[in-house]
Amino acid sequence: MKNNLFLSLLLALFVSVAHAQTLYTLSGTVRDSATQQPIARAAIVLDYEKLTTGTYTDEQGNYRIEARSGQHIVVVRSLGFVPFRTRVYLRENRTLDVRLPSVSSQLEEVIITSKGYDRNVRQPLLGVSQINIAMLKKMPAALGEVDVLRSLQMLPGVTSVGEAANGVNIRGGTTDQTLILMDDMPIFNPTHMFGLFSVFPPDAVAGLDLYKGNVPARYGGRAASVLDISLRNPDLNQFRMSGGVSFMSNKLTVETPIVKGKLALLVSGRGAFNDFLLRAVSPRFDNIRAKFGDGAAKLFWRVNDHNTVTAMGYYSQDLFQTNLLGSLANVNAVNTQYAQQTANGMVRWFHEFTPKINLQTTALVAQYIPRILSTEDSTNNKVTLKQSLLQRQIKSNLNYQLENQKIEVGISAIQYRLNPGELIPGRSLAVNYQKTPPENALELALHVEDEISLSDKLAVSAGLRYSHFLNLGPSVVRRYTNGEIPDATTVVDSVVYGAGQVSKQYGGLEPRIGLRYALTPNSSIKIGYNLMRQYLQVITNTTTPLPTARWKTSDAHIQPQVSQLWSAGYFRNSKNNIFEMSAEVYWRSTQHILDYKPGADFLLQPYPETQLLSGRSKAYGLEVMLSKKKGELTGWVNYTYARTLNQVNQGVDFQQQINGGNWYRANYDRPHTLNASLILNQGRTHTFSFNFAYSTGRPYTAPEGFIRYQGRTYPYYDERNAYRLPDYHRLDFAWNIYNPSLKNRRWQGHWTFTVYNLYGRRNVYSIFYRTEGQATNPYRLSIFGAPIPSLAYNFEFK
Amino acid sequence: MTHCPPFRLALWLLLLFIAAACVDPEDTILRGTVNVVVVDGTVTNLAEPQLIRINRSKADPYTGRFGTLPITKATVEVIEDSTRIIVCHETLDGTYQLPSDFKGQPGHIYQLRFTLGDGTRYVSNQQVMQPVPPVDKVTARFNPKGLFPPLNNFYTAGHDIFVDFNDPRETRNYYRWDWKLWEK
Repeated sequence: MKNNLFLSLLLALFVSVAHAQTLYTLSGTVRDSATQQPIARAAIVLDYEKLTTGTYTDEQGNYRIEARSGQHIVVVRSLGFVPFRTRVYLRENRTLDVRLPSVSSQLEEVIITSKGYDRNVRQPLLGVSQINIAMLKKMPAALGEVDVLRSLQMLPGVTSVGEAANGVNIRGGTTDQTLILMDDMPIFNPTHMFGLFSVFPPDAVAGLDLYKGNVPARYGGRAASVLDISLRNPDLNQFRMSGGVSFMSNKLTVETPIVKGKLALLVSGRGAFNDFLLRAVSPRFDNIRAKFGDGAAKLFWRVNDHNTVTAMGYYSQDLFQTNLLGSLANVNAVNTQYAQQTANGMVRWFHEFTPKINLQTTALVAQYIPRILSTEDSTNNKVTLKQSLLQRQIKSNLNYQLENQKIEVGISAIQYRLNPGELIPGRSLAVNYQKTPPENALELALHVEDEISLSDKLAVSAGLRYSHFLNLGPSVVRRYTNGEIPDATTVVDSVVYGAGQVSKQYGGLEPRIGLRYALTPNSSIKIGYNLMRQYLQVITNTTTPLPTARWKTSDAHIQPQVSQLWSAGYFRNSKNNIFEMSAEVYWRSTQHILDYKPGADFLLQPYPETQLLSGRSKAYGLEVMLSKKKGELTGWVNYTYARTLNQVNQGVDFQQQINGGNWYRANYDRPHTLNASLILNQGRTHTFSFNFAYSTGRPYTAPEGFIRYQGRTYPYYDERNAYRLPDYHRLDFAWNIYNPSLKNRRWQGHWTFTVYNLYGRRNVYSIFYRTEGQATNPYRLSIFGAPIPSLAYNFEFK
Repeated sequence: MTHCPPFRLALWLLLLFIAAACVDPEDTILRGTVNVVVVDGTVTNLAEPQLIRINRSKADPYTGRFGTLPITKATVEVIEDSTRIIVCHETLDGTYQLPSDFKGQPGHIYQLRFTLGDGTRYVSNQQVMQPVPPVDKVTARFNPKGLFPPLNNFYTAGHDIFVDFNDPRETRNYYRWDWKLWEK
């Protein structure tokens, strides 16, 4: 077959040679489709043979090219314009005039700007990234699931510990130092299935802002960064439905006006229940259950020209069971399930006093309940360990837009109620009911911010936030001997606080300053300073916090984390804002970070301070990014050099130090990262996209060797994070086919074919040790150890 | 050695991450810098030999292989309530025994102190001997699927041993169980 094809190709060649004696002329003019101005130096290429048959237009946009008779493919290109392709059959001299649409009249693909085309250069804020959801949907996605968190990791400064990471690390921050908001509601666990998928319903997401440098003063409560995701407002006039089927999940989004022009509803749901297929394939997967679902409903009411009300609810649920996960301590379990649920609700009232002054008031409730369920082997009874976190918040923002400045004033009050752990035995005879004392706290804040343009060249964004935190009773606070290691033997006395009594309070100012100086209309330098305080954190002793990791409010022993970030950058746009270049450097220093003591156990621990050590962290880096925002080829390339180091040195005793009190690498410290994301738009029907990611392997702790104790061999660990995993790299590919029928119907289908990890590299997620008989042997675990092809079908109905 | 499943069946596409996840043996060469003194001893309130074993677990600096050497000729003492010093005598290489009339008493404080032949001195924390609730009942039951993962990838059968005792609810206690195998 192959030979035949080759032969016929050869024949075709001979045939065309035989007929190619006559030369004809193809000539014409190339113009800008909008202005009708001739385009000079536009390239005309025949049959993709640039060297032999290519030419350029002259100053008047005219070209002239000689070619053999027969069929030719003509491509006309010019920088800043959308290329033109056609087939020409030459039997005589022909004229072909071409009109090229300019790229700058296209919508930006890569990073949308809600505040103008050259926000990159103009805004006095550093380290702000935005991703357009349309772009996100074209990027290759693992298993065909469009994923916000995974795509974010293609941006500079955003990393994670690997494929199964329960959150992202932004500029050296831990996963819980990023405030994740979805329409103002906090998300405490952003992933499904232990980090494989993110929880945001992709069809309902309108866009996202990532603040990793300057964080506006209206945000607070986390030390490193803010990821603000907004869901689409339903269309007030038109019914729309979209949905999709992939191997992983099924989803459906419906938006419908209820009262045209006034009231509309959007409902978006997604579910993954395909795990039974696993069991059908191999008994190896008999014990695996993996299900998740999430859904959002958003009601938008335009009361009148000056008032709108938005109400929103979000629910997400997860169930995961595998033999790889350990059971609850002291339970002989046949299987163990991890289940978690999020239930959030929000109401927002927007009132416009005048076109320049508006007030936005939001009330919200967010609840997160993770559970571990172990089924006892003898009774089939489930022993449950339950945690719950409840946040209630009310906040109000007044915005005042002037000619040259924008002023914002706001207040916020948050109430936290945590149940850090409750062991529910069910009918078990062997397990006692246990409950860790609940935590109650208030976080109050007010802020003011002014973004002002002082001259054509200089703009400043100056914000100030004051936050105050109160830990409330009922609680028992232990006092330990000064200078001694806090544990049960060093307790001096305990103070009992009644309900509502303040057991400890903290507070402080949080200045946020950004400054922009324009060097030319297309380039600027910016500098920024940021201080942020964090009163609620995750305490964990795993590489990435488990969904069931314990949340902890600051208290008498655990101080709030305070982080300061200095950053500076150079920004440049060129060729009519088609290209965007940025280079940023930052230095971040954080106080009161928490790390765990060797052998720490937080489970049902009423006094977590006995298991924790407090220290400091420093992070610094350089991020360089080049993006092309418009045209046939869009995308970006970025390189990041970043380090994150921690130091824990609370005293001279070795139990109060980590790694001897020296600086040590954070477990997400990955010095070199190179990401490239490219999208080729081929007409209206096809897009091809590629993602390439490279980064240094993350540090991990390996035993220094083995010791003999009680007749057995045990691995002996000394320094934390002294070793590194092999480098990580991966290439993904996606092919999107839009509306294959090419007809303008109300129902439009769209296929996505993705190959994740195209060359099948077994990137190492972790190296772990397993005791086998007398020996302890190392193994490496790869999460996606092979190319993962997937196919998804999505539709839209208008 | 496990392999990632072959890229074959259409159904496999559905198998997604769990099938694609794979575990390979790792051939890391550990640094082989370990050189630690391991003390393995208990003081109980039972009328049994009270033994303290001291060894040096050490890696060969050239091959990285691990081995242990008993530490002999050390001076080993147990201190009761910070006052009474009980001296151990070496019975086997690296094994030090407390006097045969000695046994611990719940509520008292114990501390271990020893000096190596080269003069290096080590002192442990003080530990209070906790009272232990009595064992009410010990039973065993054959469980054909007791071992997971299977031993040598095959054997799953074992005996589940149940120990009934009353753990005081109000205090947080940790237990360690030792067992000896007798065969008739």
